[in-house]
Amino acid sequence: MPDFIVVENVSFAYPQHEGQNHPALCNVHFKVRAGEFAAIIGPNGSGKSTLARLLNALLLPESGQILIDGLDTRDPGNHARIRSQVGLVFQRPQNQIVATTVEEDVAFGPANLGLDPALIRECVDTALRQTGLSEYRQRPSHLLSAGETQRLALAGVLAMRPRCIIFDETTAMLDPLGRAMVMEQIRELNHQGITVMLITHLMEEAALAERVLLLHDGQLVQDDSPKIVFSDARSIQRYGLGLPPAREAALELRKYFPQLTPHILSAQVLLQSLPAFKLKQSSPAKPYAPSNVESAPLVQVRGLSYVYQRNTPLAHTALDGLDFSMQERHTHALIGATGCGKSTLLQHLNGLLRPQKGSVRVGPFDLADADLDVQELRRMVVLAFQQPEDQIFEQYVGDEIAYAPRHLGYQGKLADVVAQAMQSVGLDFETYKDRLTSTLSGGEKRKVALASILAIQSQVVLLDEPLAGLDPRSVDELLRTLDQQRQQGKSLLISTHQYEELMPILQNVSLLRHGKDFLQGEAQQVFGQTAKLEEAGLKAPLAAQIADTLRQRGWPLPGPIASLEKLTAALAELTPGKGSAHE
Amino acid sequence: MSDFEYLSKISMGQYFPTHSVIHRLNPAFKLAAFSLLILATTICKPWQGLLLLLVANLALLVIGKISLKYALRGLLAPLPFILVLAVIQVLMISFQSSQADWFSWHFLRVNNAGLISGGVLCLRFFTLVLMLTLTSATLSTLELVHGLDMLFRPLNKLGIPSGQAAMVIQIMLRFIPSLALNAEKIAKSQASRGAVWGDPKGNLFQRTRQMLPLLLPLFTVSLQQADALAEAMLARGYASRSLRTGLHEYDSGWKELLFFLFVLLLCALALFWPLK
Repeated sequence: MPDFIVVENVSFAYPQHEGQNHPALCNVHFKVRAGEFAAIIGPNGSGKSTLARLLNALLLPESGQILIDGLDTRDPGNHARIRSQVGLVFQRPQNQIVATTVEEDVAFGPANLGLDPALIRECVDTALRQTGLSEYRQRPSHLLSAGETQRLALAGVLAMRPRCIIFDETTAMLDPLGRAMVMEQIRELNHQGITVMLITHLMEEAALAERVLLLHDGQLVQDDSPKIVFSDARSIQRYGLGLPPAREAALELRKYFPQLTPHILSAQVLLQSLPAFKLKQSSPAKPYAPSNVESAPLVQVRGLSYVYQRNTPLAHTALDGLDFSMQERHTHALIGATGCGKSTLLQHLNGLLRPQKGSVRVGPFDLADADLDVQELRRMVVLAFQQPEDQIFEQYVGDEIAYAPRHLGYQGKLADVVAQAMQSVGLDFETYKDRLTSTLSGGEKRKVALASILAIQSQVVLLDEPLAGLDPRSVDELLRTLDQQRQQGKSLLISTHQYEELMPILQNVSLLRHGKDFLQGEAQQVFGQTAKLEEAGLKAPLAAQIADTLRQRGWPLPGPIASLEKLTAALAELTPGKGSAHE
Repeated sequence: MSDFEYLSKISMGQYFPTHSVIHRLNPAFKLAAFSLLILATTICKPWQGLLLLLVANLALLVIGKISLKYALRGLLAPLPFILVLAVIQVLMISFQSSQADWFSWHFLRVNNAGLISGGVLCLRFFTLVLMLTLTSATLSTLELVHGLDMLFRPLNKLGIPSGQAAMVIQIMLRFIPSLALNAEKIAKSQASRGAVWGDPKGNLFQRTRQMLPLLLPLFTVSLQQADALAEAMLARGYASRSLRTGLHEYDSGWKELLFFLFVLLLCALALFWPLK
């Protein structure tokens, strides 16, 4: 097959910032055949997005050249053709929507190409059908859910009938089901012959590609099949990335099941190759006894209902008789498909919303009380929304972090409060306090934003999707900070789609569905119920799926298992002499 | 009711695809007709004329299948301003008039001339707000863009790019709801960090400073969004020079003609009341 994309010795640098001229891409060289499915991975700031924009002629190479189907991107005369052949789907879908209704937005691209209205209609219809949006064609585009908006963004690109689509962290803001749907769509498009380039932080997605390009510091350091790129855990960790979870699990399980091949990359293959139980059963599986040491809950929600835009044509029910409780000094995850009411619940807990029906108690506060001192409540309970770094407004880092304690009160010296908050996110007080917030990097901004929330010294911290869009190294750092906070006496409530990554620091989980509580309890217990999770539109953690499959094949595994540690511990007991002996 | 639901307080700028007769009209005619109505409402002097326009407007909302309750709610937000203006108007005109007073205290006088003038002002503003609601509810932004494009196409000969101007307006309208959503999110975040708005203490500078936590992030986020949108538009092949086409072909028939004539008649009636 001919080369569809040719990238020859391409370098690119953004205009200078503060005297530092760091190239975003440096001598990158590769070719992509028509119909290929390639993933691009690399930590934040490694040049992935820059590369995507170069391929679509949004940016032009400083040196070297890029040919798309033989067309040079540096020739402005080629841009219209290149952009119709290489579609780009971005991370935040809502920023890609131009028109107010769905079908009009999908028609934007074909209209730009100057197509005939009848042909545009045909393109739009096909694209809507492919993305399952046919019934939404007249909907106002800003009233779609996150997953629907993402599908709309894809439809807008598909309507131009491109030969290649680049997905720039397209799934980062979606729930697991939405993510799986997009991945399924991507694979299908690829089967239809469309060249796919997938930029992602999720290694399990990268593992589905035929080829993985690894970028680090603007250089293409690896370009091979996923099997080879993910063969060596140490080298991939050196670039701040991890292994796909299935491969990590496979490596761990090989200690007990040496017959597993070492090249497993997908959960499906791993589950299929698990062995049946053949050992003589030494002891019956111990019945599981949940630990029932419940103290009085810190947060108590009963029968909570909430309707947004009540009494308007746009009214919709977010919560519908929800019960919820949360223990002190626990890390509690709030999970569920998009639109299940997670963030509405969070907003009730620090008084941004007041209960329309039902009761909410947080510590000594009753949220239904008309005389509630909201500032006092917010000193106890702080809420951080998605992308808190967007909320930075002060000129200096120190002032930004001091803002909340100044307004909500603090104990001791203000400088100490700020220093402590900065220290807990790993920022040095002296180096950073007088830095201009506008000169911070993305990662630093995120840390400052987190510090400005921790500086409140509140008892309860509510976080809305704190992991969205973070690369694996940043996720690790954040989890460590959060767990330290809990050990120092805070209670954390985290609403998230990326619960699998959050597992190591979790104690309790509540699963919401259609504005109701669907499943609550200890993390291992909730995540162990694979069938119920699927019913609520979620995917069970891989370890729980493995445990489930093993049980079906006769393994007498005890109690609920949802983490790899618990699974290996259980297997070690069942297969004495293995595992530890191999180490 | 929440303090943060900005979106529900704005009924202008929302499109409701109810597929009514009005929705299906050629946008160029619709746009021209609505513009005429708005113009007539602005310059119409007699109260009977304004009342006629208001009734016609309500009728059009009904024909357009737009919830009247929802449209009327849009009056609530500007109501205080309108009332203040009306009170000033009543006092001003009464003071200048020589008619018999209903009430007088020092220089404050209220008489028929003032009351009529204040009433006309209220009526005018109500009608205007409802007209704008009607326009945005029945004219989607892409239709608006196509309408403008068609109406202003003659200007292309003078070197004025009607298509580009129309696109600017489309995007501005598209981001009204998203601006409200952003403002809501930022206000909530900053409230969680202890920010208090509308604290009457302090001078103008201090009060402006209080709003910074809301305004600065709103600007930054909006600029980021504008940047991302521009990029997405370019990536989808938008280039100002190329000739754009559209999904819809609009034809004009007797419905358009009838609608336009009806509006012309309405405007003439309203403006030249009473008929002689």
